[in-house]
Amino acid sequence: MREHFLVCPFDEKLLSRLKNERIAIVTNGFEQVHHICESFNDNGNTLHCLVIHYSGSVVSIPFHENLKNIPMAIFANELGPFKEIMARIHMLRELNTRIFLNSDNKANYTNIHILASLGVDCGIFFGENEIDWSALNDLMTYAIYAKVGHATIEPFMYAVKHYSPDKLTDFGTVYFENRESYLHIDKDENIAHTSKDLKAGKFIATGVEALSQIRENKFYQDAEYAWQEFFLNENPCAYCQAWRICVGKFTETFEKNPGCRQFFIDLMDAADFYRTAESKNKKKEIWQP
Amino acid sequence: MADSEPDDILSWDNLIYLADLMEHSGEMGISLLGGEPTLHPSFVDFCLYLLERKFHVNVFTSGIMGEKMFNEAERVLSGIHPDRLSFVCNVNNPDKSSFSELENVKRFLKTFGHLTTAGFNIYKPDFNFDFIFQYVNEFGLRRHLRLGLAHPIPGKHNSFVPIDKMKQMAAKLIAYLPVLERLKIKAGFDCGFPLCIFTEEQIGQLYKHNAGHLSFGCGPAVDIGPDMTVWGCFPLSNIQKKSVYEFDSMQDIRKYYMDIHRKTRIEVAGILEDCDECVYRDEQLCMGGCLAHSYTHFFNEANIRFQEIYQ
Amino acid sequence: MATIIFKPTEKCNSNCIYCDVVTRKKPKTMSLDLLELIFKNIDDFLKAKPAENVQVIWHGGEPLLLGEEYFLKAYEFQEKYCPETKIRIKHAIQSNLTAMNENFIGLFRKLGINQVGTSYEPLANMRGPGKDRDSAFYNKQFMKGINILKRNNMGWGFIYVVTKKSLERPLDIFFFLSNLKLSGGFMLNPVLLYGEDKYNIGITPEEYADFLGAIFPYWWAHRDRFQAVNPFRMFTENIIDKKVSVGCEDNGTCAYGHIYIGPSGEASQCGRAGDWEIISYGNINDRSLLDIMQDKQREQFLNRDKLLQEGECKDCPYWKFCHGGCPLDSFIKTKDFLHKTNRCNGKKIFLEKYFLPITGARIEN
Repeated sequence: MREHFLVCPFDEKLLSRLKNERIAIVTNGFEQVHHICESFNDNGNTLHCLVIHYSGSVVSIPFHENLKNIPMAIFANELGPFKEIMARIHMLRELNTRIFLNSDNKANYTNIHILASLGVDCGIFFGENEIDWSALNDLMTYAIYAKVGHATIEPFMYAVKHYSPDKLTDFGTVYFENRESYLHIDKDENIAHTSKDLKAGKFIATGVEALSQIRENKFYQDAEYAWQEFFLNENPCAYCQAWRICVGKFTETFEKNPGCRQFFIDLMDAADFYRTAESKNKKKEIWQP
Repeated sequence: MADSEPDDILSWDNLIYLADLMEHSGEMGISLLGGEPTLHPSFVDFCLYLLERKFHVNVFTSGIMGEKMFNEAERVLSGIHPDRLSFVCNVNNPDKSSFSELENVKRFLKTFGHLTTAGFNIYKPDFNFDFIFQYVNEFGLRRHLRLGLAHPIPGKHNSFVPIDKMKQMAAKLIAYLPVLERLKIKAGFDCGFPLCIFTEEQIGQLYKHNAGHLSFGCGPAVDIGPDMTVWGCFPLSNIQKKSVYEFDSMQDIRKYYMDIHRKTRIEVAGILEDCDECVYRDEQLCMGGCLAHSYTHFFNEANIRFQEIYQ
Repeated sequence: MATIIFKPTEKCNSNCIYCDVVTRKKPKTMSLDLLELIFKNIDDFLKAKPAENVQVIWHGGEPLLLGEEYFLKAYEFQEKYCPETKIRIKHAIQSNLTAMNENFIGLFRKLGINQVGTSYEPLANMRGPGKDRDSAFYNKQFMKGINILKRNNMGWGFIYVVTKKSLERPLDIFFFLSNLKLSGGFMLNPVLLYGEDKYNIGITPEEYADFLGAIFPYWWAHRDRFQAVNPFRMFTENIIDKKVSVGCEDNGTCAYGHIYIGPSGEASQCGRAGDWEIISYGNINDRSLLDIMQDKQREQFLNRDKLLQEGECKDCPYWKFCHGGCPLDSFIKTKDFLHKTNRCNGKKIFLEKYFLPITGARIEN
């Protein structure tokens, strides 16, 4: 088994060409969920996660007991009425699911706060509109510093958990967008680093055969040093103290909305706090027979 | 789901913060007050949320609700077990209420009576709460009556029982004991009743009525506003306000206001001059009546007391 | 350990604003015959001093411009002339990395080099080829260089030279540099000029102290993030952790430990002394390494320590991690090595205005 996870649409022909891979399937709804899961019986492939881009509200999702063991990442724009969420809250807590809500909908900052406080693992994903950095900071503060137990909120938990001062921390992983962990592939077997590249036709290779040699692929290797462009072009992100935990993800909006800088500085402090707390909580282990 | 709230009502984010603060403090009972808490557009959702967080929710209400809110509350909350949700409905004398108000209250009590304790605020010595017995019987209210005593709000002109009329008020209260006992309704005092307004005999009657559970206390009953300011108790809501973010736990908040209470009691022991020498105050059987009376003194004199009083 | 600052070439592909070597009209390169002689000398020296080791620090100019062949020759000479002593020879290299290629990796490994010292400048037109110092080109080549090192699991560390241009943006520069290399750290060194300040880049010791002082509070608060930034780390270790360990400028022991050998075989005390031509120990063509290492002139550096401790630096609380500083810094100001460094005041200001108040540390005598 290779170290990358593959991210692809549900295409039986493509799946039949893949062997012994860990695969995240991207889909738009729940109709095919069981069919997708069943199609993983062959070729030694395993379902890493179902990535569901759902256009309705979370309450309109047909949650059912039989979804319980299926790993899912649901990306939705809205949550729906609170009372209806409450009617499903026990189910939501039991599913192997993370619900991501769109930052374009301002209410979602609070919705995520509510969901996490009720024990539902969730996260925010960044839409097209301006990000409310102050609200995001409040959410992050809750996610990391709250004294009372709650479910995890991404990407904050990933960022603080994987943060190490001596390397770049790419929280894109929670969105299946990190070249170290994920490769995106379409039904025509075009391979790209990110879903955005795949859509834009920026392929690093074509054909599933290329997967086994991907680390030797020139485009793949070049991308390893893509971060250096920030330094060569005197990009303001290169001068930002939070670079190592953001890696310039919001560089395009920085000039118009520079709130990202303070947010990521605070996230880095939160990561330090988390690390310190973790090391303090490390239990002493004494010998056992 | 969560629309942004105006500044004068509690936001979802602040509610979660407060729920966390209380849970962290090990306090799993939360009271929703107002104003009128049922006017909050997310009132029912807030209750549901807190119940899901395993809080006991106690709502202080007038019982007067809009149609939509009532229907929603009826649908969602009326079936909740009394161990998890309760109401204190401060009822007014029907003679002093408009027809629609009265109908509203009755509608509330009809639906939520089994979850509701009646509350009555005494703000004049010649009060009358006969009508409450009718409510208790008709709507199946809980057989408990919460008696509050109105206190002066420093710097404001509100109705309250003057100190020299308190004994008269006490006598009136004692006169209700036979009927309360006959109806098996227990009357409990809210804070600020001084012990010495009752005669020895009246104390004995109260002792029997409440099976020995008597309280003549006055201490911080911490209130937190929608803007996250915190104050020692309702009569002191205009002074010594702090931000809830300045404290780590409910215990810290209470300790802060308890210290101020204690210091204030050094300045003025109680509402009567005799409180200074009172052995029962020394032994904390009685706290010397409501602190708000002392503060009213302070506001009518030069700033000669310890400075936290005036903050 | 005897340290040879070895400058086989003055050629450089960068016209760095603060470097004297590039101003030389005809940059010289050491011949292979002379290179051969040096390895013979090193062997003789080590045989005569069985308890000694030698560290050869390849400097320039830009040493990579010598080409792969040259390094291969160096390796072959070492193998040929130092078969018994080669185990006591360590190599290190200072390079701007812009001429780096994969072929150097194997050669470096043969010489036992697994780390390259370099320097970097985020401000435009300070380093780079040509009259205008094409920093865009330079930086791109530099990145290619470090990528080659990374791919081959070789380390790199770097120095940043603080100039007048740096003073406007200390924190920006600090963050840029710390982002550029997330592990290992770097050094913030003041620009050292001898003679005319043609480009108005020189800074006073006080300016250097304030530059460091603008960064230090942030570094101190987050020192787990920026572990090895110097001189902060050095002061922390010396003053707080009580591990006395300072660089060559400050340890007062350079007298018999260092030697500079230039492209024509000319010998001096150290790289700066050689570049500025202010001390001459003759030429390796005429004198043995051992002889140069025992040159009478070196005695003054040994005596300087005592002289300062009884004189100018008497009772100075910072003596143990300064030792009067680099004698060359004394020379810049007084034309005499036997005074304390002209940068003394900068150190004091940094420690007293920033380091000690911020850390709450105290100097113990």
